[in-house]
Amino acid sequence: MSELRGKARAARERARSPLALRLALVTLGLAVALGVAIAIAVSFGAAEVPLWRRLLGGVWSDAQRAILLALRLPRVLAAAALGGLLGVAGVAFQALLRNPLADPYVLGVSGGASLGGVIALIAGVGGLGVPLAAFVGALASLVAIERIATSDGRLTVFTLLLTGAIFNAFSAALIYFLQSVASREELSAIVFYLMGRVPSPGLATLAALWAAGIAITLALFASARDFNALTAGEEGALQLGVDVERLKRRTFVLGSLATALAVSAAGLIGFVGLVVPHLLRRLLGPDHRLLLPAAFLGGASFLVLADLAARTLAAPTELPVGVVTALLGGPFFLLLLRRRGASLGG
Amino acid sequence: MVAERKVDPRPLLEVRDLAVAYGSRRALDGVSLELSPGDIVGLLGPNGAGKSTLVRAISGVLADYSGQVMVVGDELRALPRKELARRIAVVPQEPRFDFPFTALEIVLMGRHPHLAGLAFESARDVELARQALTRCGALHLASRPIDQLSSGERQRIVFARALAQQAPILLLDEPASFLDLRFQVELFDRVRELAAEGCAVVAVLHDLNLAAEYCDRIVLLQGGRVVAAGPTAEVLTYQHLTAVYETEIYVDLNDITGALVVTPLSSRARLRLRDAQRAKVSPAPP
Amino acid sequence: MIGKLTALLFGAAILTLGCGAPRAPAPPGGRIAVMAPSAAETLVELGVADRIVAVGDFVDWPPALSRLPKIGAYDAPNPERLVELGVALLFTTASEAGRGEHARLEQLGIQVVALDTSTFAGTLAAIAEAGRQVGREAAASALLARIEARVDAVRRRAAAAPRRRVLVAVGHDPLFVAGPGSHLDELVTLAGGVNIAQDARSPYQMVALEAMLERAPEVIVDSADNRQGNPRGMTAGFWARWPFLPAVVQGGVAHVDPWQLLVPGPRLAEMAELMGRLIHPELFGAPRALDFTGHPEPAPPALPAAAAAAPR
Repeated sequence: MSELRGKARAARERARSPLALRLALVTLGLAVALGVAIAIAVSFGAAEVPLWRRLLGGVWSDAQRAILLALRLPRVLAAAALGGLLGVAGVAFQALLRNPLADPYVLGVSGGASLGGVIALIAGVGGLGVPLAAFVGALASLVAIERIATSDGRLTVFTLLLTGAIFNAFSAALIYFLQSVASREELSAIVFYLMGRVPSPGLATLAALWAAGIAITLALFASARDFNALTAGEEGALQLGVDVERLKRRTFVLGSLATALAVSAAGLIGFVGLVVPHLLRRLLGPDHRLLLPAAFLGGASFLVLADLAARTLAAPTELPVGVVTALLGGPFFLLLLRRRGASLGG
Repeated sequence: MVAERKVDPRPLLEVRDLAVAYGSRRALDGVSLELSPGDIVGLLGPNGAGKSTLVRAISGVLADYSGQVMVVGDELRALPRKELARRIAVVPQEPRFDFPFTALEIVLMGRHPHLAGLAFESARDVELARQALTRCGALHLASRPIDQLSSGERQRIVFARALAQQAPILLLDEPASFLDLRFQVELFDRVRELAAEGCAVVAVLHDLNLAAEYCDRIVLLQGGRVVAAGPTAEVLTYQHLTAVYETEIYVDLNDITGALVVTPLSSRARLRLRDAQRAKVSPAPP
Repeated sequence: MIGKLTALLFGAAILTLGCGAPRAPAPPGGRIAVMAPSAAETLVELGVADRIVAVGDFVDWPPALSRLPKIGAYDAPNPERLVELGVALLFTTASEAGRGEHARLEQLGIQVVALDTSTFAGTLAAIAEAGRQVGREAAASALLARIEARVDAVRRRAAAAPRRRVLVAVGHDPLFVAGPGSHLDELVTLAGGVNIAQDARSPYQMVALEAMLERAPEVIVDSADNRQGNPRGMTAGFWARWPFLPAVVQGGVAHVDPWQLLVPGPRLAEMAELMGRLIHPELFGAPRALDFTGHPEPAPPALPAAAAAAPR
């Protein structure tokens, strides 16, 4: 009951303030929150680097500077970009599948990406080879799935889901097979890769991730009102003037691209793409013009903080960040599901 | 809601020889109809007659059709989607919503065809939406999430959304099936007002009495074909209705209200009728 | 003419006998299969190489074993092949996951000996246990005595030296190090060093790179099996990215093939001495070229007798 009252209250709030203003406020607020999260995350880690004392006068040792600039800062910024990519991918797929329970991995691109990465690890390719192979795998899956799910020029959402599920199952089976024939070192590398780990990338990769994240968010934002109209169903959206086929295709490609980048760079970090959009939808309402930028910034903050926990809770060892997001996200999501039973939507 | 009255003598909607096939089954075959400003046309027929298919074809949802559909003078196939949505507004039969938008946000989506690219809704758009809600007696529902409304309330909301679209042609697919009688009457009174303002309305109806009361013309479909089309009293006859609905349907005239009364006959009623009127079975036209 | 015919017949007879006869005469002690490289080396050292008929996938040393059939990974030997080869005694690694399988093998009449070599003490115990199982207790005791003598010598020589901070890396991306409990940790300590990963919670643990950097190791022993252009020798290699590390500055980074240090078996003494050379070269002498490489390739197989006897 209080659930309903809370939602009604939120809805009345939305009725009052104009959208543009709310968009500006939300974006600004979440950007500030992200900034704070990054600042906190950079200050802590397995090593002791008294960031702020040094910034306010004092010198760093070579070790501290190297740790900060070559390891920690790139990793935190990468976590932000990856969280943002997963967040918007989640919103995109939830809009495409018209279901708030969809996550970026449901449509099969992540299966192709992880398979590509595992093959690279077995082949002994190191460094950039793994993310590149993963990305190629993701693109191959993307094209294949899109082709299979298109009949008569129309992209059927149901077929998309089914094809994605099959791709994921197939990739998982192949990965298990590869694991069974891998050597001990390869096996360990594969397991950690699949569990998800935020890398400390070089400047070029970092810039690419951020550029892609922002570009994909903006591209999806251009379709935000169309996503809203899609709520009326595909036919309803057609009758409101939305080019539904083009929208579906565009959304699938953009969402899959974002997912492909995230999985290629960091493995399978789960729950970000599911929990962040869902939570933001409850707080901000279902208007995609708010949800998309919010999901980027919110997802970024979420993963930055989750990675902070992964790096510090068990020092000197690290928890895989996918474990942290699952431990945080899992129970949270179950809670959401139980409450969802009380109301139809959201 | 529509500001100017159409002076243009051309019909708003012209359908010529429309045929739609689902696989080998012909859902529509050689259907023609015309709609001018002020018309309220009822689309009647049993299930499977092709009524919803006709609505979907006209509103641009079906890409595969043969024949001609001219919407305000332009061929349907040639119109960009948004332009088509500015000319035809559709009120669907069973509205469904996947995310909990508020009623006002849903109605505002009716302004979508009028908004370009990344534009946000203007104050005028919001005002139009609120007016549409008011006209449907649903303004008090504006900030309620759609998933908390009853089906009758939701039906009024989607009707308001169609109003907000400000399109000259209105397609209604069973718009009143969940409404209380009071709201049914209100909705169709609104429809009459809109027609008087220059809109053209096509309404798919199951309720033959509603059709009799509110529609000027009727198109009666069976098996994808037009069985009869014309002024209401000419189409709603015992012969036509009994043949199409495959059960005896008695049509009478209420002297006091002047409305046609359509009564499907139960077996008991049939016996009574036989006894009462052996010779005369068709009502005299009003 | 008679001479050639005789030689041909003689050669044919040898050839037939050579192909038909079993590779080794049926030994009284029962046939052995050994899964782990460390146990394999131990058994060969104890002199029972002729009883070994099957090895694990990763066993390719000593040369006597390199051409035996490979029947599975560390703790997953193929039961069918074990039975087919008539294995009576199986040496495998101790693992929780394998216990059910071990019970099943016992039911098939195969005696399973699970050896735990994850610690220094465990390695020594494993040698003793192996000796007991194959009836070579005396040889095992002698081997252990030799090992302990040389290890003690290393320990004594390094006793008074300043403890150097040592990092032993066994994997990259993520960084895996040898932690407390592993034989490597013990070797570091007795060779005059202190393992900077003391606070790891298991013998082999993944750790954050920045934590290790902060602890400024003076000696880095890198035994990670890096694929891309494995460096070998006293070279900074992977660690050159961090020029401020004392190990990099002082030239104390050694890239060592995993075979040298990561097979805890009869070569423990050699490992201790190698560790001494890496940590305190001033006491033990500089590391030698052979200290970094993998094991030598096995010699090519001897030609069959018939070819040697055939007339040219």
